[in-house]
Amino acid sequence: MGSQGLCRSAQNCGNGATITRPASERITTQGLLTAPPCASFPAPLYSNNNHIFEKPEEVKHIHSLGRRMADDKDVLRDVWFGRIPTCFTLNQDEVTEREAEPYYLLLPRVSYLTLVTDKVKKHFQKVMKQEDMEEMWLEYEGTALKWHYPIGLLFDLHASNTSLPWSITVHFKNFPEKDILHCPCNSVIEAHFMSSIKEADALKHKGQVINEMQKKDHKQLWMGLQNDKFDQFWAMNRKLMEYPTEEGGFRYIPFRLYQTMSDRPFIQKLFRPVTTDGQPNTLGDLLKEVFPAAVTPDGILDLVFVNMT
Amino acid sequence: MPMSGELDEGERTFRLCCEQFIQHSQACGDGWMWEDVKGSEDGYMKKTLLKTRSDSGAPSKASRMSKDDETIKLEFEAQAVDEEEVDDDDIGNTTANGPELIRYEYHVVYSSSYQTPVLYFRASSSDGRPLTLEEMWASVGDHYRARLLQGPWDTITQQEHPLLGQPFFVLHPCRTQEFMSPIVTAAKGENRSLNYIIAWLSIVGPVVGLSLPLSYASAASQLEATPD
Repeated sequence: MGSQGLCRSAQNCGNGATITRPASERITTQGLLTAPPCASFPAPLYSNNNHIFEKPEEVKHIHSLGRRMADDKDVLRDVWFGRIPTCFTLNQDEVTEREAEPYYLLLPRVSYLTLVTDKVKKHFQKVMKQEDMEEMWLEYEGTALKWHYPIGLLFDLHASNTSLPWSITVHFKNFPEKDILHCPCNSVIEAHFMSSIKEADALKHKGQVINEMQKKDHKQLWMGLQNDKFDQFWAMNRKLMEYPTEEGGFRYIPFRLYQTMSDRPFIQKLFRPVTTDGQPNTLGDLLKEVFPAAVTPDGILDLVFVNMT
Repeated sequence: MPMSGELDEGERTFRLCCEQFIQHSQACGDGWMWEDVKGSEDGYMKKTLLKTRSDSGAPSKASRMSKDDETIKLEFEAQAVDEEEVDDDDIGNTTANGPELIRYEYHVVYSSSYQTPVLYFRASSSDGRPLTLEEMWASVGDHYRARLLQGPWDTITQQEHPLLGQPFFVLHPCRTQEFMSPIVTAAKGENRSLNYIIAWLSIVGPVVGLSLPLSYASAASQLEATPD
């Protein structure tokens, strides 16, 4: 059970996709630190052996988040810069003036479809009349893609077992009102993103950190994501990732569990990073508590684990 | 071992309040019911309402004045509309000669992140097409819109329903504490029992076109006090 999980996650850690993890692996504070830098981000829960706490006593020696995070900078960068090569093809029922060529793009795992596909829209605009184009929406193998999910999550959920590039179909008609949210402009994406960040901070710090930050700091978080600026983003995000061990660390761990075959969009529950005895909880503990069906004798079922951080 | 007893207290209080709320709703025919999520312990409170589309935003003249048999039947049917039972064709036929029917759905869902209830809502026209937020406002009325602009809530946005995965409109919960804590404090100070759901819904409901009959207020004072 253990080795296969480790191999896959080690292989995928650059892309930030973790499918299976050995249940015995610790979610240490380090695991949290290396978890996704932004809300709803595929979590590698990367466990560099340098950072797994072998003994609970070591937890007490961690004074400063800053020191630990510097060690993890490589991992944070790998996660941030993860990309998925994607091929966009126009739905064949769309009305075009001439044949539409597919469009290729490297999608950032940490971003949102509607934020990064302007070029896709402009490309197909060249062969279509404006009156035949309504709000663009994207589909993979019959499923409308939820733009408010991070791109990496969508890929892991729908296409992680397929060969690259990821093939997405582009639509400009018959918007699936009952399935996906509208996205009339970028400020809607920003609102979603910030809402996610706030909810995660409500769990981690009762919202105190996010509420003490100024509006311009919030803006910097968003602009960092929008413009793919790792340093700009993390200058602010490090505050949200502060784990005051003397106060017990995060109050609760922000996480969501997604499954491909489920009516429910995700599982999200309150879960503390340490037990009443002060022992760090592991991923296995979390799964046993919130999704026991996922933990079988042969290992953990394929789940996509997303840490909201 | 996670302290599941402590962690779930907010949710247990929520369920207790909902239970009491629904009891009263059934007694006065207000149409609320509890809906379980298949395959889990989670659930939510739900109410479905049929209204005719009206520019003035007031409840349709038909439901307020000419209480003929047809209209009364419609109102009663509206009290507890089951998803599977409502046939869109039926709605169309019923209103063939009259104004269009809009179907409103209100869900009260518990947020463990904010430890408060959250109001989700959506509306659709008789052909099943979801209403936009602007259309909803047009059918709800100006005075409610003014109340929204005054209220201590950030905004109404379209979000994915956390249990159903479909688009709904939501009144954002992060500032619920702001308007609820004076009420909770006052009740404690006067040693008065308080059903959180009744109090909260009586404030946020009208903003989105949902009203609570006054009888809830007297029912509340007879209810058991919420656990500390």
